[in-house]
Amino acid sequence: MSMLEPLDPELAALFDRERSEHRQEPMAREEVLHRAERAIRLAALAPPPGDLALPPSLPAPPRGLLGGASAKVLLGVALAAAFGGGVVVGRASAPTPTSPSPSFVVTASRSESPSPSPSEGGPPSIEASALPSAPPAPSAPSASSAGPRARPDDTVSDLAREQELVDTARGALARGRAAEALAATERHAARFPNGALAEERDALAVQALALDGRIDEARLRASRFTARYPRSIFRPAVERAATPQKQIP
Amino acid sequence: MSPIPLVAPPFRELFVAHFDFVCRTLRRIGIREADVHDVAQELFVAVNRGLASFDQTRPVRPWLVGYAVRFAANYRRLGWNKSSELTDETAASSPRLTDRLATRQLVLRGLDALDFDKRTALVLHDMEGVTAPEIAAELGVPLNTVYSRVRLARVAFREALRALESAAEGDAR
Repeated sequence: MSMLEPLDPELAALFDRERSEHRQEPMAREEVLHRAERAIRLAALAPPPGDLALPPSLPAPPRGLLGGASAKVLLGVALAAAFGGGVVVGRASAPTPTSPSPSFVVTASRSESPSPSPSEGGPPSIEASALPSAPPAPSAPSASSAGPRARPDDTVSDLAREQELVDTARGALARGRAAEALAATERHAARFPNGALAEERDALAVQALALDGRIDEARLRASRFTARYPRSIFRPAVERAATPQKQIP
Repeated sequence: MSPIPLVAPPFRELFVAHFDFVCRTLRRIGIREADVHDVAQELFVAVNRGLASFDQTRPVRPWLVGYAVRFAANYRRLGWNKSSELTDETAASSPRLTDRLATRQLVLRGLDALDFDKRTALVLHDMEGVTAPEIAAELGVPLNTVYSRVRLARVAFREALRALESAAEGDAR
């Protein structure tokens, strides 16, 4: 016997009702997306596994406890700390199944990206014990790595500086300091016009302008924003900010 | 110089379209409510890595299911689900409250009575409509094993619901 009988109507109705109670709040969705994208950016900046050198003060990751991404999580925590605590990669207690290639990035040259999984792009399944062990000390950069291309350290530093400016803007916005927020976004735009966090910066700028009462400018910037980032997760917030609130009598 | 797209172009679209599905599935197959968003975050980071090699002609949900099951299996293996015995759901779902129990909590408690494999089979097949061949392919198990798990899971789930109802009636008397 290989086929299944249909689900009985009573259970089917129960499952339908249950499904309707699983709605996720839009704010939660936005928050998780934001955190995931940051984690992706940080992971993309991590050195390949062979270059991972954990500080000697950190204990070795317990085998099989955190899953294959142990080293990457620790690196992510270290990077987050380097960014002044402004980056939440994820809770340290969260399980992290696998990540065979911490440096895997989907880039414009995607064909060069290694496959992260053994077959068909499925979920990775490398155990912690399969990770290469950390070398005893960081090695000096080889001659072949020198050259005009940006070094990973530079990229990390740039992203850290970007993050700092964006966090400054967001913090100021949260405290109602529109001018301060706007100044931070302008500093970011001057230094990193096409930075990794440009989209978030532009969204914050619209909100800062609106908060400052500069609605016409906010609308103009919002219009540019939606044209540049039509699928942005920040789009609803940008459009809300650029739409004057109705006065409540 | 244009920015390097660290995040795969279809990532956001995929995230927005399937975030609810992923959270719902994670919760149903055993991730605690308090941990669902954290696990979903990690899951989507892994999904972003996999996008480059994902065959766009394949349906997305079974592919995501593969991630969800592996993350949930790790979660269970690491014992995170036992880190707190009193969860928000269990605290609010004493059996005597069955009448007031939200359907969702009732279903989750019924699912708690199943072992992981049967639970996963029931959730994916009967609750999410993933076909048995898709489940078999994603989980790497024979098709008949999927059928068997679904059948046994249905029986066990009904028994669990009956037990919950009996306990509630006993408390009400």
